[in-house]
Amino acid sequence: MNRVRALLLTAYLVLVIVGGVIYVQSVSNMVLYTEADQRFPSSLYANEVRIPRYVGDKVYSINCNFSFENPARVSIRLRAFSFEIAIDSGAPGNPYDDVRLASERIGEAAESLGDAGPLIDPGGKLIRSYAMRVPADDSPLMNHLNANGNYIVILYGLAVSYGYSGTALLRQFWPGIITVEVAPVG
Amino acid sequence: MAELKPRLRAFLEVMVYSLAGSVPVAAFFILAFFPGYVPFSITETGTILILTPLIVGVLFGFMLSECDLRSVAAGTLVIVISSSVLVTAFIMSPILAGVASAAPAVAPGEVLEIYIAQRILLFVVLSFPVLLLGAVVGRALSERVVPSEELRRELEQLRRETKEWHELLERRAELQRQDARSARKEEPGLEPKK
Repeated sequence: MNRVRALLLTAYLVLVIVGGVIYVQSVSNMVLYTEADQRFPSSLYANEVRIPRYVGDKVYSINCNFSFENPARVSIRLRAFSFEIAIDSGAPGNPYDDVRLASERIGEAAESLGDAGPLIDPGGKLIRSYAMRVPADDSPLMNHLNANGNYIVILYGLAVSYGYSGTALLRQFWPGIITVEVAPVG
Repeated sequence: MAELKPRLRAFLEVMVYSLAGSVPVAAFFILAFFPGYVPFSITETGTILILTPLIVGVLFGFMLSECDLRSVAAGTLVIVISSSVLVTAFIMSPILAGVASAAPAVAPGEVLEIYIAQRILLFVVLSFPVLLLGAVVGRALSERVVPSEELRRELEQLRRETKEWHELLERRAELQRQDARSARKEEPGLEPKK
């Protein structure tokens, strides 16, 4: 084997090893981030966020599903209460406005229901999950859900996706809180 | 059997280089398109998307200097297919690892599959032509820079044969000259008059 060929083979092997390391780390991060729900805005699986709900000693989970293409087409299944939830993330338009509007709305709603805790940063850049602690089943929030069955809530650090023309295939995730409307199944 | 061995060896060589080459191609595609998951971030997405398949293709073509061009083209196809499998495995890794389940928003099984199909299609469209170009260029350059053993053997044989021909021709010419001289001596009519 001549020297040039050996050199090229080495370069090829280096490229393969670097690629292998990047690939393994990426897969590992993908699994870990999805499992930990720590990076919603960058997670592909942000559409399937499991937010633990603490109601007394019970932990409920909410599965949130939404389309990558259209954040307005969101459906949420609140398993613990058998609610089908439809999301309205705001009027179509500027994604910043949508997110801000949605976050303001839910902020007000949560405040009115006596929920404490920060919901979103002023700049709308919240990138962390937020588990709301509900003291008991008869909390205002749960009462509201149970009584009305047609309103509000939840969702923290949920990622909203927007495609851009030109780079529409590149997906960018914007953090945001989405208001939801709750309607009982059936 | 004796004929099969070199062919099998060439096939295995193409497969090994192709499968190895698919790793960096897939990794750098993920690096460009899913920056949230990679250990470092890059800003030049387009450069990565074009340069990586090109470099891998050129090196791949160089590595396969002893194979014919059809094998190189088939090898790039193998790279693209196995890279697509790796990218799909990456996107579906939470499902495969059991930390998420495919939860479609519009219809059962639709969203994730469409999402994956879009990425794979984009990946194939972006990488295959560049990869193929790189491989063909690499293969062409390799003939100049690192000629294959077979080509070297052929060239050496050609040189040897040419040299032998030259020697043979010289010998024949010498013989002809000698014959001509002796013929002139033997032929009386041709003897110079005194």
